[in-house]
Amino acid sequence: MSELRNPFNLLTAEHITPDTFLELFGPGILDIYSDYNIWDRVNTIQSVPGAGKTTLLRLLTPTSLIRLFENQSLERYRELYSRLYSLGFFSEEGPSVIGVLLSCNKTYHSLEDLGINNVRKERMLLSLLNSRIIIAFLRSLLEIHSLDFPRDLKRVTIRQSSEFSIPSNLRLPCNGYELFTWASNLEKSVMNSIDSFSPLQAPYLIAHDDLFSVYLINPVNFYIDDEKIQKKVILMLDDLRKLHSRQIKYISSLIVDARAPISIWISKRLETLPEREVFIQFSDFVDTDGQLIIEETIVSKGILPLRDHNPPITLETYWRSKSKIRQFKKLLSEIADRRVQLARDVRQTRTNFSSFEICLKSSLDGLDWIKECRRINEIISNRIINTSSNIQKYAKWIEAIDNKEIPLWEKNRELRALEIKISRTPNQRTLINLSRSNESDSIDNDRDLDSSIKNAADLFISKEFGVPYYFGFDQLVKLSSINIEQFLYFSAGLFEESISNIWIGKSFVLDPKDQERILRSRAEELWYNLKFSIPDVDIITSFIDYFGEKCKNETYEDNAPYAPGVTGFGLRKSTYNMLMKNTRNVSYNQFIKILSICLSLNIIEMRPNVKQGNKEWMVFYLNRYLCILFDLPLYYGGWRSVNSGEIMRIIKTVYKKN
Amino acid sequence: MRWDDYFLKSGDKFDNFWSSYLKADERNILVILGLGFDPRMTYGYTKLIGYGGKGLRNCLMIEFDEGEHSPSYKHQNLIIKNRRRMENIMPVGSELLNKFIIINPNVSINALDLIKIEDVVSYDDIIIDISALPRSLYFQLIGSLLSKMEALSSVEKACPNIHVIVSENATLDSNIIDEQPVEDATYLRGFASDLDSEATAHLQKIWIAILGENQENQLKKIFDKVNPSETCILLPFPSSRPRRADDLLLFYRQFLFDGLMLDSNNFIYAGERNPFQVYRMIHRTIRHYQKTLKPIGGCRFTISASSSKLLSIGAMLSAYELKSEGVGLIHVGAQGYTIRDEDRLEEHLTETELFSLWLSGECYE
Repeated sequence: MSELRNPFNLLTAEHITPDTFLELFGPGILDIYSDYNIWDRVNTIQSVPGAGKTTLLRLLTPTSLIRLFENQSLERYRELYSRLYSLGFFSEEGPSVIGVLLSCNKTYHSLEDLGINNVRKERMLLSLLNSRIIIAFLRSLLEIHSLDFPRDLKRVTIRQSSEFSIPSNLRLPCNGYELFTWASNLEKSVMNSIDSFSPLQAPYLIAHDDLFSVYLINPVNFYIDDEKIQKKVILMLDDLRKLHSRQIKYISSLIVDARAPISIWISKRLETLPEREVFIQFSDFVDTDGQLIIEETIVSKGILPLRDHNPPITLETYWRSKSKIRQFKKLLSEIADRRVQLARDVRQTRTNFSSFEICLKSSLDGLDWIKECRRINEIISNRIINTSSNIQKYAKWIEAIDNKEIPLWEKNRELRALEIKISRTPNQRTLINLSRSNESDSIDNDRDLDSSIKNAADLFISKEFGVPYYFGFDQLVKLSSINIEQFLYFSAGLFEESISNIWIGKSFVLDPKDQERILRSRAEELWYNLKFSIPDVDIITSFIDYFGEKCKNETYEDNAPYAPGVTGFGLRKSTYNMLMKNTRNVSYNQFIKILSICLSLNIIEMRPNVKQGNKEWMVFYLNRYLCILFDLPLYYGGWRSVNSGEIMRIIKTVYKKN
Repeated sequence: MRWDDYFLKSGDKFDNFWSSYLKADERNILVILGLGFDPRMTYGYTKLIGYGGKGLRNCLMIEFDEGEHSPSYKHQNLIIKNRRRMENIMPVGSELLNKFIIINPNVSINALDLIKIEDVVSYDDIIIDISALPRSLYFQLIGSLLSKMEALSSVEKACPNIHVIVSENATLDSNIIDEQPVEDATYLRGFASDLDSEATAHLQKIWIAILGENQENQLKKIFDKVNPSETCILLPFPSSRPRRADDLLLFYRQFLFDGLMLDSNNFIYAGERNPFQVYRMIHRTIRHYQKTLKPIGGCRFTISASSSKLLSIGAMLSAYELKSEGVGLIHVGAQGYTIRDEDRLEEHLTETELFSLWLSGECYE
């Protein structure tokens, strides 16, 4: 694939060739399933756009599984193959699963505005689904056995081996070609009804009463060349949100009630859910350590009967748990490195571009920054001395920092952190007294200048002196907000600059200033483009502006009270529960609506059950890329509380403005 | 090709044709137009009634609801102004009729049955003025009327002529901006063919995209939906702006060359003032791919028209004619529109040029 100029710009997983897809895939994402029994059950994966749902499903299709089996001993596929083997997707003879991927992004929605009653619409929906499930299964069945579709359909025989009803015009036993023809004609009839310029005709002829196809595609009913099929079936319904909300409810309940003898996987985006349910999906299934909570409340909400249905996995919640964040970073690193290796310019110029991370300079070491760092050092040192009452004492502290064997930019950070610490101490005498107890008569940096203050110092220096802050691979990972698509979007901009530099004879390693310029520009572009997809865009934009400016004002207070900075707000659990239950208060409903839109579009992120001050909080953070627009840090942690009174004020402000 | 020989008039030739056509005989005409804020809404009708002649000059005004959050509601004053203008210019003896339809992103649009055969059969000429109609609506209206006329003529009944007129004005077009494109691209009802079919999912998908300005979001959505094996980009050339095609390529370079990995073989050209040239180029392209890919089972085609309304007619005619051969028309709807420089809209109206396309009826018999 050497013709790829910037592989980070390659569009979504669906559009990448199988070889490239497998090369780009990071095996880490499969860890999601290591805690589950995934067979003979309904599994739901949900997330905001770009988190990797379709990628996961596509991995389980015949093309990918066969390719992986054939290349299992290649270094770059070994780990991926091994993980899938341990999950039961392979045996010694090859793939042991027939993955049937069915997109719900097709026509179904149009059934809802035909001029017929709901019962008829449901029956037509079942007809369409049945026909498509059967066709998709036949295709996957032939593919997994390395047969040609549709030419080899006649080698397949279908004999009904178990009790379930089938439509009267479907004759079993039959061969695969006959079944395919039956299903194709059925699909065509329904689609002609929807798409015809003529009025709808005789819909009753193409209407089914149940989803019999999930029983029919049980492998026990199928033979190839008279031999039984020895594989499991996974039916994957992708993008359930593309159905009408009424259809989603109907199909979801059918699937759960069906207790089909196959595994059914459903992927959906969070916008599918009613507003309050968005919060439930983020909060009720996973605790702060990423452990699943099996609660009675799940069953009582009617979302899933536990014996046949694994709790839905919300990809963001999974990755955000403490033990998984490192894994996610590793996943992103794997994905990025694979893309780099595919770039045409990297190959052609034989650049020693061993990993993506090395093209992002991660510190201010270097000749370019010496002069500026010295200048900053002098300014901060003088400021500390000039504003204090004990010049001699502070001069000693400054000297102690200066004598440390660390880079100049790190010294500046410690000086600025000291300045913050001084401004926090109401009585500087206290600070002086503390220091007297220490023999060396100097401040103990590790104890007194913790990492949060130092991180705030970095931000303050950046703001005051225009020194870059948003650079380096770690910052890029934070910027992704646990979203692969977001990571690729920002990486694409950085990589573009990097490979362009190669051609003009410059280093492919990007200076921090260039990185920040690119990331800032990409963040502005992303926010601008997202607005085209946001319902009530003016309200949401006003809310984010309000929220962002508040965070900024509180972050940049001299004493950095919420070091390293405020990037979120928290609702006490009791306030949160009140909002969820009180459905009659207009302002609360408006607030919930804003939050649910922001959550489902990944504009804000939710952290449930945060413990602080003997209370539990629901904390909402800005998506990290929005933090760039407000000059905020990318760390989580700093947030301020919001009570019900302030909620009313926020709503009033936001709606008044619009 | 059904429209291999075609009828297209613009500018002075538009005036000459309609003036002589309407004066030659008594002709009862029905002008179908949309009630919107665009000042071009009444431009075509005003011109037509100005040519004189005998017969009815009825107007069917389609009122559409774009949803309670549509940005178009900001321009209610312009809509009211246009409605009053229509009411005032109706000639004595002619009727102003109304129809209503919901165009809401949460509801898929179905305009196929909006106009019934009995609404139109008594007229000599049906003129659809698409200037103030949303794309998704006029595609379906034109398709449905063409289909109805075919059904009538198959039973040897007299059919009205079908014309489409459009008021082209590049300045106004650039000042009226799509707001909040709806989330996904969808095949228009009546033009889906079997593109969404599971039975043909294994066939190669070819996407033919007519490019216009500022449509990157829409193009990405269409790409996500279609997942094409091959993409063909139709650029408007020749153009009144000689560098227009170059500018489009520059604007979309990342999407076209990095995202889709296109090269110079993927581009075709058609004049920006001739929708029938677009129609021919699309036809030719489709025939080429059909011949080439026949040995491997054939292919399916999706056409998108992110371009001027005039050129979009060419796309629609191709999709209408070749629907049974697996050709569909895809669209990304906007939730509404917003206007820049609202106070100067009427000023720009003088730059408008009218185009007339005769699609079915006497001249093809």
